[in-house]
Amino acid sequence: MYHKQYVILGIIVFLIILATPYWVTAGNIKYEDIHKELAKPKGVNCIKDVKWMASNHMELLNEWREAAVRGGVRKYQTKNGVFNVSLTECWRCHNYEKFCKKCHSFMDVRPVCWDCHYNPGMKIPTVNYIK
Amino acid sequence: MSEILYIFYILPYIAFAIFIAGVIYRIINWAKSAVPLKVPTTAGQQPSFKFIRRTWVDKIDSPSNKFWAFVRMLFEVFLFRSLFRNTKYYVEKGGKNADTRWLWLFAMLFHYSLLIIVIRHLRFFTNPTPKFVSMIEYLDGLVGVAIVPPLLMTGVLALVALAFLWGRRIFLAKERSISLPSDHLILFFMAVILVSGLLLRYVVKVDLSYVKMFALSIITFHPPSPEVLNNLHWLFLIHFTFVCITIAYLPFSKVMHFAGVWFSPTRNMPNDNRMRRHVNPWDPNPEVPILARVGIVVDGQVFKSKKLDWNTYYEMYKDQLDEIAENNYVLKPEL
Repeated sequence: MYHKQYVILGIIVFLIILATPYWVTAGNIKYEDIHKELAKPKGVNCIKDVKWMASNHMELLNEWREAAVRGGVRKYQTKNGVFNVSLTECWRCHNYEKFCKKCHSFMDVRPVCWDCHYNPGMKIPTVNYIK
Repeated sequence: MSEILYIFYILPYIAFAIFIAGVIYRIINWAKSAVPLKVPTTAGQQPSFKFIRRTWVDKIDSPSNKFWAFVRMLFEVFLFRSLFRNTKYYVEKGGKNADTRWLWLFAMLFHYSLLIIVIRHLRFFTNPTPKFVSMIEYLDGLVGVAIVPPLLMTGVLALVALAFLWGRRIFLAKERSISLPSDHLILFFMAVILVSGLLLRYVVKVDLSYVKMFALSIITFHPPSPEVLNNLHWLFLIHFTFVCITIAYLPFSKVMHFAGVWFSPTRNMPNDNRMRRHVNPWDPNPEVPILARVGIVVDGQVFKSKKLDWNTYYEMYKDQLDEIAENNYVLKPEL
């Protein structure tokens, strides 16, 4: 093998790059069963069935946003009942901090909702506006 | 049923074992081959008399020592400098060189988009996610904030660049004629991975919590529960399987250029022909100069080197030449 020192250095760099997830977190990667960590919602039925909601809730909120802002629609009928087109409707059953935010931060999802809207975790007292 | 799904848990380990072993094998294999001649291809002025101007560009393009050779290598690896010189010769245009640096542009777009996409995927493999990963994703999505989920630029750019790079091999006659099946195969893998990934983000919504738990279980060597595996979406499994297949295929493919580029003699040798004598590692201390010798020894066999005659040539490539002759092709030495 020619230029042994460079080749070995190259292989070491290659292995270090492969191990990126470990060293960027300083080896601190925690396996977490997030479904056990989340707070149990209070109600019986979600807006649609739970499995659909788990993967498509952002689509529903998108739909709601357009219906409410552009169409002025404030009620939403599904087979589980009639719901208010509002985020506070979600928080009637779900705890924001222990459900929504927990899973979002687990997934590292940053919803753009809070660029304009308030949320219960914010210091600004707009949260009490509706209550 | 769920026991079968554990295949998907084992798959990445197999893929990475093949990948790591294969890459190290190929690197060592390359490192074993000697470079008999000094062949630094340069495009700049080499050090000469004081009055011959030599700028820093010349130092990069015609490095005279190891440091500048390393700088040139960095330019090659990070900015694809040799692709930036890409021109194409057109006979029909009166022998003019046409600028074909769009290849450089799309190659840059594709590679850097892919890098950012890989970094963004760290959000599935780390818990808690480091700040810089969220930051990169945020910056990546700045253009598309009006859409939920934010449209990430790199995903779109990578797809566009891939379309161009593949289209180049399909629609341009010269490029098509030199494209091998393996060229198309790796582009096909990338296309499947990219399209399925984009679909997963924008069209087919899946429950990402299970995807992340699955990813964490892989990286922490913590077997996932059957619940996690049962809830994985089929499109995610396609995406994931193709990623694993591609990773396992990398050491056998042309994607090995990520290691091979460091071994390119035209890039990694300083252009110090006049300052230092390059010693052929095949025979470092020849008693008789190579051109005056009867033969050179390669791999224990003596070959005539001064003039390659038919018998020596036949001896060197006996197997291939016999095979060609068996197919009724007439082989005769050129005189």
